[in-house]
Amino acid sequence: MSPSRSRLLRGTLMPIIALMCLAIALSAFPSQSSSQAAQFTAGTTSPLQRRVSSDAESDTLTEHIALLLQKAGTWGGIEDYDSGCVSDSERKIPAFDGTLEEGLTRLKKETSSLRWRIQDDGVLVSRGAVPTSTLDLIVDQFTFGVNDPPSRVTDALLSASSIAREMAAQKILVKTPELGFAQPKTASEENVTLTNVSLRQVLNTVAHLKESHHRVWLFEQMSCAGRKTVLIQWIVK
Amino acid sequence: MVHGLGHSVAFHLDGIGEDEAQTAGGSEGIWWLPNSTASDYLVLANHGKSALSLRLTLFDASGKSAAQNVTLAPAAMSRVSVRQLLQSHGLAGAYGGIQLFAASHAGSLNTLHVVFDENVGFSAVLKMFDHDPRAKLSERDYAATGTWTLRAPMLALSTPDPALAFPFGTILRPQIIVRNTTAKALNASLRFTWHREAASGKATGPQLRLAPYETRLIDVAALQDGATLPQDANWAAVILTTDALPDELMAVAVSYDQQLTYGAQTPFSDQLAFHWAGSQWQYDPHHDSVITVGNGGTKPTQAAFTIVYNQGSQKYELERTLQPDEQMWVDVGKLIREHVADKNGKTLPSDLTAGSYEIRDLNNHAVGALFEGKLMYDTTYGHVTYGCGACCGYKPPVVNWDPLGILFGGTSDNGVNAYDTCSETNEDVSGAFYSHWTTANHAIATVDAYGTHTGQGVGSTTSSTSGSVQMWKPHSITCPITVFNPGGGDNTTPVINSLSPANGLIGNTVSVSISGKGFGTNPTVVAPSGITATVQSSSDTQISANLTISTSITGGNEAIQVKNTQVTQSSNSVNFYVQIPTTLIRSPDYGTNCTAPACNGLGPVNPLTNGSVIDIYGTTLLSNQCGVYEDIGYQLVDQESPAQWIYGNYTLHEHFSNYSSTVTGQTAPVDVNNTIVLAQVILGDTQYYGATAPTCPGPNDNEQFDQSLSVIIGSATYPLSMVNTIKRGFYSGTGNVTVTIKTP
Repeated sequence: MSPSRSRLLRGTLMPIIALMCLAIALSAFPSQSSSQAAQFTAGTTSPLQRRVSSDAESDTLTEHIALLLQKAGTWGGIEDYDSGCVSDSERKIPAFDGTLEEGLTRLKKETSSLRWRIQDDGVLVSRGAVPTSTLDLIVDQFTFGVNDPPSRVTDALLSASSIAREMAAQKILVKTPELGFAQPKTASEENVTLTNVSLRQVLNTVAHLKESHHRVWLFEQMSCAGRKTVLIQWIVK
Repeated sequence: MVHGLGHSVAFHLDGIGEDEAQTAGGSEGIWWLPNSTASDYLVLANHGKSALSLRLTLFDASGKSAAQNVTLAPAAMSRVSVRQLLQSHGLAGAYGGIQLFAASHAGSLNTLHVVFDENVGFSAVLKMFDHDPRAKLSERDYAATGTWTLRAPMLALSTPDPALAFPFGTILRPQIIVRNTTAKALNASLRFTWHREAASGKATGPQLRLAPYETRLIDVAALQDGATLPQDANWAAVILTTDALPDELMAVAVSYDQQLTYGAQTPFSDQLAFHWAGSQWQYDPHHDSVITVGNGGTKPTQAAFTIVYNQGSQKYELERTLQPDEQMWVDVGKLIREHVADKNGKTLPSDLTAGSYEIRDLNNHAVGALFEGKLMYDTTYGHVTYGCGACCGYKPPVVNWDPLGILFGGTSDNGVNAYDTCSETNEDVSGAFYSHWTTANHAIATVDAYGTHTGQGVGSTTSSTSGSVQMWKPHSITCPITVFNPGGGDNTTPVINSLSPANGLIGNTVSVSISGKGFGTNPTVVAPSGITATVQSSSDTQISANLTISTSITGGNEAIQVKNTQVTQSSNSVNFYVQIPTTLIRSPDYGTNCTAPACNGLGPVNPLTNGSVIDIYGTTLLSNQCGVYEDIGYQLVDQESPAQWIYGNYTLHEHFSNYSSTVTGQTAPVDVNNTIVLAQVILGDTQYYGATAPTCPGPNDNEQFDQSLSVIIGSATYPLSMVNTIKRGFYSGTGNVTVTIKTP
């Protein structure tokens, strides 16, 4: 880690990581509670209470959740353990105008396994649950550039020796994400180093690295025909 | 016109109202008793609400006079016989003068003088002239000759025009009776413009020196000796010039045969005009009308003569250039009978019997040069009656723009227009006001002779000019030349010379630079609803501002202004184009296949065995990959024609459909929301198919899908029309990517 301007975030020393480490059970989120909403100080609004609207459209559940998060102006993550080994089909979703929480509640009526919770000032959503998630894997130390494209960060993350070794041991195949459109290249070489953090924590860090640029990640874990696969896709880059 | 239907009675009378502004003054007239049996009536009317005290003075030809007082009660009328008054005062002769003078309320007086002889079927109107002692030559010198000029346009000469249908062999005795209304000697000159069919000419008449109050008869018939006027000439316009002031000299013209059975009159008038509204003309087996239009000015002018018929719905138009003193003669009956085409090829209907007419001076709009006359004859009684049009005057002229906006350092033209009371339209009379423009504060604005203002400094001042036009006088038949001084405000405003950039993406905040001058020390940027402007920094010539564009705005051009808050003046508007995303096009600035001046937007197809996927900017996205990829460069474009590129902050949403794959279990990509920022000049899409090495796709692993896109800004979504069909993967062991535009 040679750059002159770098940030070394270690364990509980840095506030942002400290908050991450407070994250509760990762494989199954309880619904938003009033105590969690109380994390927000006066003058700020819980992302779940932000007003969003959408036109009637045909969309997959995942894509619609990503749209709601984006319109709420929040970073977030979606963990999907319930794809059923088939492509997530599009459905007709009526127009909506309400809070993000009301939007998610509307979706939960059709997908009972949907859960969400506040993480810092972001929203993490999950569908389905598994006993152990690949996102729980711990990486001892991970360094990435603040201005790196997020797909590059996750590529490096999944290539980290400890992660790659564990996934090889579990015979988990990594699906290639859709790369989409390029992000602007910046001259800044500022780095961030995380230590002893889960994959989920790394993704969350990348997702809200910039105040003005909220990202949403998607994690899919499937086991179909005896083959385990995972996909980490930045659906809001 | 007063007609005695079934009798040889037809008098032209001018309907006028009371001129309350005139106090002292009166009327001047000429009495003419052509034989011993003719009678006359002098009718005096008081239009006012006050009693009118008059001094009535009669003169014989030499100026010998007799006077008496006459008092008219309010709205009263009195009729006297001049013949009887002459006899009672011991005055003799066949002609002489009449003077009516009121020391006050002179504008309430109206008069009529007719002479008639029932025994021979004769009647004539002896036109009375209003005499306003305040009258100035400048108000009545329409041709700007410095000499007061009277004209009688249609004096019937000894040999009558066959158009008058007098019995064969009728010989007229044209006479002019001229009177000096003052106690001083006056000089006058007569000249003629004679006319017969297909020929015309000019002749100089006698020079006159009239003794005080003298009335003199000029025997025009005697001048038709072949030396002064041709013997066979039918008509003459009589032009009388004098060194007198207006109305100090007067004249009447009469032309009757020896028995006074047949004849015609033509009134003297000094009036020239730019527009005449004519009265009725008649044409049938027993009537005809002859109308003349003449140029009383000193330069040639274009005269437009229009016959109006069918209740004003139809027009017959003639145009002709008239030299000074030249006249055009229009025999309306002949136009109808002979189906003479007008300037548009139109002819008058054969059964047309009546209408009106209009005359316009096409070269002189402020003070016209045209005079006119009309005769109507009745073959039943051999009676010819003159009629005349009404001159059209203007209401007080006004400047075209009040206030006039002038850009600082720029120019703005102001002009003058005036309301023509006949046509009820505004006419441009700017030319009459040239060379008199001035501004009150030259530090704010200056103005040249033609009303072109130049902004010298931001602020307000006034400007005005001076000029003369013919004024409309209520209750009058005259249109005097009147000086007016129209003016108005001048606002010299800040000027925007440039706005950069001149467009911006909806829903974005765009930093713009505004260049110009006169912004002052604390300017504001004025934008329409939907755009919020915030000034970041400013000087008198430069403003940096942020324009925050709402997504509720329609898109397209929006007007931006700068307001100088020190003097509360707003600049010119410049357009700021609000861009709505419509589609993507392949970037001409990217690609491997470049034929000047543009590239095709497609990068190379890159097969990898264990390599990196690199985006359009050279950034490594994935490492240790086995597969194939291609970068494609795009530009987002707007709704303008031709479409302009869009730079801004937005989310580019990708959606994938119609998916198929050779690999079991492989599914369509999830939608991707790409955050695009202003700095991205080219949009670069990376299409990659592969896996992390050492795993590689099979030799025939590939997929195909449609890629559609939309732009998301805030809560608004703008679908883009372009749809691509993408094929990527391996085909018989060869990696390839193809991107085909399905819908542009």
